[in-house]
Amino acid sequence: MDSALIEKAKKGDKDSFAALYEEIADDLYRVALYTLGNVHDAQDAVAETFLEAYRGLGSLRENTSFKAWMMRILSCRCKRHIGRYVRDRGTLDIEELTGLGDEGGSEEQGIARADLLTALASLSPAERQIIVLSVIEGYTMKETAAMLRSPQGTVSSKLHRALGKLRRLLAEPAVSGKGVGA
Amino acid sequence: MKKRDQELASLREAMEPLKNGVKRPYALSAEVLRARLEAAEDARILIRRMPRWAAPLASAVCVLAVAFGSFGVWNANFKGGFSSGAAVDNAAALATAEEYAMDVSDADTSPAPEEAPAAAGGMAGSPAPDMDGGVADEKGSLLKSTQNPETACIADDTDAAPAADPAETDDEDIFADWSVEPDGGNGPVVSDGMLYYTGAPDGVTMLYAAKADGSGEALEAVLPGNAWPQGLYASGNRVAVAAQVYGGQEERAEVYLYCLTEDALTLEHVYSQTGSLMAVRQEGETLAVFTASDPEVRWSLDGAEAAAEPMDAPYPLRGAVMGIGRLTLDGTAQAHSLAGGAAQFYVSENNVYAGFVSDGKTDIMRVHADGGIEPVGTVPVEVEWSSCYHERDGVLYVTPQQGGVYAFGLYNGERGKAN
Repeated sequence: MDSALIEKAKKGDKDSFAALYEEIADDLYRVALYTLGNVHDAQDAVAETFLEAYRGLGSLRENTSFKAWMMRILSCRCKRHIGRYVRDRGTLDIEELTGLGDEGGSEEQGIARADLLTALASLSPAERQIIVLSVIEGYTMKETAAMLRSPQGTVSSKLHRALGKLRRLLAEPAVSGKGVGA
Repeated sequence: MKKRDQELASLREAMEPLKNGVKRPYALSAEVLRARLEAAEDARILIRRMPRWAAPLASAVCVLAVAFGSFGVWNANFKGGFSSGAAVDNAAALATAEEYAMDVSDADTSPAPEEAPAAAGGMAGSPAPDMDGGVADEKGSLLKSTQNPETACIADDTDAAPAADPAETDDEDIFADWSVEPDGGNGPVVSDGMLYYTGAPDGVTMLYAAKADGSGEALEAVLPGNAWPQGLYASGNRVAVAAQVYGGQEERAEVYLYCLTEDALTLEHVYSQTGSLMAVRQEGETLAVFTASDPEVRWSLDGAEAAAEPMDAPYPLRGAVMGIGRLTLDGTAQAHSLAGGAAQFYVSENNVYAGFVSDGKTDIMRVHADGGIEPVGTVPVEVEWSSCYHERDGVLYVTPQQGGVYAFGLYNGERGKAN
């Protein structure tokens, strides 16, 4: 991230903050979407993160940590939404999320996407958040632990359990996506 | 490469379809969010420049403006189809109202005592007067609970001064130097000169008790495995940890009741209730545990299982069912289930709501810790998501998918009849 932009944003420059946000907004939205499982809550969580981050940016000490810091705020927002999100008991809206895929994608891609979402839906929100950050977004265990403000050991053991579940689910015949080697 | 790294790499490849092709909606563009930010700031600046006596009047004007503004947006959406731009305006208007109310509260302005009982529910977005919650009148009755802490307490059915917003406290933590924060956990809560808090060093979730004056060493106890602590409550020498438990046959909430003696934290009782933990409310020595569950709610204390006592609900079963357990910190318990269910549940800092959808409308009820339900108001369309609800400063805002913003003041005199 551009440190000069961060410094300007810290001084209240909204354009700089907007530019910084634009760089990571897709990642934020994807994490919120797969953690919370529906577009509506994901939009709320990201919008809240934007507003909270702007207000609190002055206290960020290490500019290099900007993205991780934003993810940390998002994780707090997601946790709060998970608390509210009880009607569907925290599961994913698979139909809605499947429909968000590439327009013009093949039927096979659509099926693969639905299978992956079905597997994700079987995880608890906490497990899903760890999978999204470490698998889909590619963060290291240390980075994921920092974002979730959890000890690395806790994140590691949760990831281990979640990976085990995913491995079983993706190997099941009912889920027709490609298997994952263990 | 380690086995887990290989597995991660393999999974990353398999999950590539989920990474590609997700298009961020226009409502989350920097341009739109920046506009929301400015709208919120404008409201703050306005209220800070006013003398204290003018704040209540300004607030009334602001809420009425938002109400009619939302009505305009609602009309525009209805007539012209829903567009991103209209949705953004609507969201900005709501954000402005919320920020405004927050700053009014900070200004510590108190309405005349005789005005407070007049506070009533209201509905922004449609001025129809036949709503259960009433309509915000021009005297600004909707605002009473936002300005006076005492009135806000009445709105929340509590006698004590309003507690600090834990969410806000949490936010403050975020803005400290996040990279040097201690392990995530709950608490601290203070009781009888002791600080209680949870943490998870080395991946094991622990409960700690330390003297508030910093003397001596902290006592600790290992919390049961696969529990995700959500809250900590204490009274006297007893402390309770509420947790969501995953794994096993079903999802459930558990509360672990500990007793502090001179040299140990002892686990005395384990309370369990089926479903997702929505909220825990503490009233002195009693905790009320709210869960969303399958149609049958079961609970147990120290392994002795029982079905929750069903209560009558005014609407047919739809969606999840709410379980309401009550237990005392010394270990007695009973539970109710809100049989009949609800379409949505929403938990705010101070209240629990159920939205019952039927015949194209949504009746909103407040659910009390003793299992009683109290009408809040009716929205004349079907509300589809629990995230459509938002409460702040004694006002419940409902934003259905169809558009419009409906606001209900929660202070309506005496509490409604409870079952």
